Amino acid sequence: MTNVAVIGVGMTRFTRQSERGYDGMAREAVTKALDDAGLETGAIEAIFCGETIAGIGAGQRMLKDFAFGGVPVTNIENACASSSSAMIEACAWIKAGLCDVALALGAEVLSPAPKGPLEVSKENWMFAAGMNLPMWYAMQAHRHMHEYGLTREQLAQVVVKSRTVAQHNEVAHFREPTSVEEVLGSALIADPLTLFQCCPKTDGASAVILASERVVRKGDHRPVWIRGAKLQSGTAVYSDHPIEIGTARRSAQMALEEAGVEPTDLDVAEVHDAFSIGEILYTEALGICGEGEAGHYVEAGHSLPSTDRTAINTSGGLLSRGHPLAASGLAMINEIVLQLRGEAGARQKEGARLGAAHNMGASDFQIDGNVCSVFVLEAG
Amino acid sequence: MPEFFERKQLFTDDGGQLLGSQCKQCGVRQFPPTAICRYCGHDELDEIVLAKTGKVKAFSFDRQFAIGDVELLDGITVFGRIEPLDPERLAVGVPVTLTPLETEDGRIIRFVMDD
Ligand SMILES: [Zn+2]
Repeated sequence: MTNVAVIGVGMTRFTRQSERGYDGMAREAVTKALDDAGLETGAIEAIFCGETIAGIGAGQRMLKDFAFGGVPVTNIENACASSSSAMIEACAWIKAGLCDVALALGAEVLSPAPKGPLEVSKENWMFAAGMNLPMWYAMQAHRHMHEYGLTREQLAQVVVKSRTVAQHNEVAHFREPTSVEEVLGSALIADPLTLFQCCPKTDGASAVILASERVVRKGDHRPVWIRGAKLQSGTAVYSDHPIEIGTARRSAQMALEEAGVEPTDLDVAEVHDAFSIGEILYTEALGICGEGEAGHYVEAGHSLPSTDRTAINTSGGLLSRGHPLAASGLAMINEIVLQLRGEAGARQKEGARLGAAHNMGASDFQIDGNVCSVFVLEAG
Repeated sequence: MPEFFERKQLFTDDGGQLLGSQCKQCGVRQFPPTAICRYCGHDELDEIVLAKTGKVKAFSFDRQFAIGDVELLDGITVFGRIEPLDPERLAVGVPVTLTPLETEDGRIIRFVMDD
């Protein structure tokens, strides 16, 4: 099977911009990715579009003004990991020899959604008793505080670090620095999580162009190689391990094993920080630090790009860059690619060669991490 | 339609306790009750009645209500509302008792903190 590389990335700013619509934002992200790859539309042989709430036939509608000449467009709904799932499929097509160049994209208009937590799994007994996404993450936070001594200040530090790097990311939703006091003083959402510890409802689009090794070698490209690409689903084990993060751990182990690297080899990682505790849990799940050590990791400043440990969410992550559901996965890939090309500006991790992107999607709280994808990428 | 396509009821007929399933093949006890074992796929399971009391394993709250995972005495963990809303008392390890809450939309799993 051929190796696969990312040869182009593009995304909109992530902000409130619902007036642009799915197609307007997708046009910007895809045009930027094509320009970045130095390709014309005719070079794209297959398209995979991540979508969650865009509605039937989302990708075809978003891309109707491009001259893609009728190549297959396949829409993929996989909750907040939809565009990552689209990229998993694009990789599979290239590896299988079905095409040499594929486009993956994701877009979301989310800012008009009602205030408050996103509504998922309305029908079941857990929702009826008061479960929602912030509550689910908040329970994990309390469990972590109980077992490992994670502090509220350490949770707030995740946000402070996130805003610190997002200042230097022109595509981020929130770019103003903050403080531990301000984070902890913001509105209570689900104890211990306050408003600043929750990702905003953002609009945006992101795109990635992937190519086989043959195409990379014969053209003038700046490849970032995909060394590991794994997607796993959760299992319904609520009564056994209700607050386990086994799916994240399993996906990460599989992707790192495929890449033949250790988690501590990673220079940069984007992890699914929809809430502050998410960064804590998934930094540990990836094995970047030990169980229960991620609170100290952020407090000590290891997650910043300036130290010699793995830098976490140098883009600002979902907390500051924002979380337009189906666009988030490929926004993570955008960041890792910029880092591995040395193009991340003031948030650059010096000499970054190896990066990972971890993206999750939830829809039913009885299932341990509904969907999780992990990519391991290496500088070309 | 085969029985296993139907959702099983969560509560005993009198509404006072929770039901679960125990697999006849692998022995795992699970909640919610199921017609197919979530662990080994076997389709012969015994209906079991879960303990009414347990301890809070994880929790959260906002300004309106508290929720949490409760590990029942028989080892099965169940999610539910926790009352009263008392952030000073609510903690991992606090003993609670199942006290189902009847609402217009149906019966909700609720635990009340023991005095
Ligand atoms: Zn079984």
